[in-house]
Amino acid sequence: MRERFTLIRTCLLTLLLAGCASSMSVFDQYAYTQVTSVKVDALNVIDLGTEDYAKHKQEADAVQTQMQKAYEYEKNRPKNPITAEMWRNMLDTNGKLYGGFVRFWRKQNAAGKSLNSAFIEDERKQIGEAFDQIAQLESNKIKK
Amino acid sequence: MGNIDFQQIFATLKSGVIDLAQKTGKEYADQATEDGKRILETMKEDLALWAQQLKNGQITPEELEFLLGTKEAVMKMVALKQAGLAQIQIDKFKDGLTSLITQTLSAVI
Repeated sequence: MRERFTLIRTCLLTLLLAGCASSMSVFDQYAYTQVTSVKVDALNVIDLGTEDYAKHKQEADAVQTQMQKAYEYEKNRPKNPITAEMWRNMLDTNGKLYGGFVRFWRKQNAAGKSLNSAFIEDERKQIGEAFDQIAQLESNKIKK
Repeated sequence: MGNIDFQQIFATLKSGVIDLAQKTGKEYADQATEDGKRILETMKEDLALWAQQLKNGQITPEELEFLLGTKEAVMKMVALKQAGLAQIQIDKFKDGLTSLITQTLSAVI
């Protein structure tokens, strides 16, 4: 009798624990599509980095706006602080990802310097990898 | 309810939980190891490339400094992804545990 009670209690407790809501948001097709789409647009802007920033400010700003929208979407999804933090890093103009790159481009041009093509190629590869981390996290989320 | 072998149920559950934990842990460990190896490899290649590019005048010292900062930022993104993947594995384990208990009990009761 005691064993039976212990088993039922253990199972109920375990089911209660296991049944607790997931600690992480589930997979969201829109979020995944958004990151892969913004990645393409952002890398296209980075490719323009050897030219004058002023000439491409509009394209650079448009991507920044797309990314802000993505950040707002992710920030308001429940149990999604990690993905939101990743987007915040991408946007941060004091950082070294997309937001930081655009700022560096603008400042270098303002100082009369243009960016080298080798730098653009290296930077493109790295920022692409940063976008991939967001996409990979999303694609690994539980699909329900 | 007829005669139920509780020791047997415990043993089945215990073995199932161990299998589930090993499988879940292995999936995560494999992904993390793969990421770690790839980061080290690309870091080595990138540093050598950038040093050469700087020497050849293909990039400026300011650009090199920015590239190093970006490398650090990418590593932070990888760490965030790994933290997220670890949480996902816990969720998968919890889902698996629910199924395991339900199936084990359904089979004997």
